[in-house]
Amino acid sequence: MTRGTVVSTNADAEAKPVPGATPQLSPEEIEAMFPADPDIMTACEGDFRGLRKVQAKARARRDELDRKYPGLRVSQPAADARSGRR
Amino acid sequence: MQWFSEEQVPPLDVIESVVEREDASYRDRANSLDTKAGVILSAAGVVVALLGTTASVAAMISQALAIASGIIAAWVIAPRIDKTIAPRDLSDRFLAAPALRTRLVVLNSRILLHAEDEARLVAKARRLRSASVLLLGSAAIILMGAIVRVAG
Repeated sequence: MTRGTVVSTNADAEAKPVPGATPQLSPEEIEAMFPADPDIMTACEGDFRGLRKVQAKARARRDELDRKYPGLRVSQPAADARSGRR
Repeated sequence: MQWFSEEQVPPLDVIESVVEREDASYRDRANSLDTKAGVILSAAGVVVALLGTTASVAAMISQALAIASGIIAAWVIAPRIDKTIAPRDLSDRFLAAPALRTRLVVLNSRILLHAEDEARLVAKARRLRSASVLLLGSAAIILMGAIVRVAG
C-alpha cells in the first residue's frame, strides 16, 4: 500500500443498528449495571481511613448511577441479604 | 442479565490487562518512594546526630531543617497505601454470581481503587520532594557555616 491510498472501512456499516441485535450500552450504563462494590475492598497495610474514604466514594458513585439510570443495576439479592448489605 | 453478554464488552480482556499492569507499576512506584523516603530519614538522622553537640547558629538551623525533613519523610512512609480486593469478601458475595458480572464489578472496583491509590501516591511524591528540599537546605547551611568559619 502506497502512501496516500484511501482505504475503505466498514465504519458506516458498524454504526447502523442491526435488527434483532443486543442493545449497545454506553460505558456509563455498563458501569451503572455493574458498579464498583465497596464491600469487596480492603486495605493491605492498615490504611483503614483511606479505605473508608474510597468505600464512601464507591457508594456515592453507585447511588449517583442508580439515580441516573434507575432499575439498571443488576442486583444480587441472595448475597446482599446474606451479608446484610445493600 | 440474560441479554447482556461478553459481546457487548469486547475490550474487557484488554482493559483488565491494562489495569493489571498499572497495578504492578503502582506498586513499583510506591516501593520506590518508600525506599527514597527511608534514605532521606536516615540522612536526616545522621545530620542531627553529627551536629548534636555543635554550638553554632548554622548547626542549629541545619538540625531543625533535618528534623523537619525526617518528619516529612516518615509521613511519606506511613501509612503505606495499598487498597485492593478482599478475596474472602469477593468469594462470599460473588461465588454463585455469573462470571461476567463478577468480572465487571471487580474491574469497576479496581479502577476506583487505582484512581484513589494514584491520587495518594502523588501526594506522597509531593511530600518526598519537600523532604528532599529541606535536607538539601540543611546540607547547604552546614556548608555555608563551614565556609563562614574558615573565612572568619
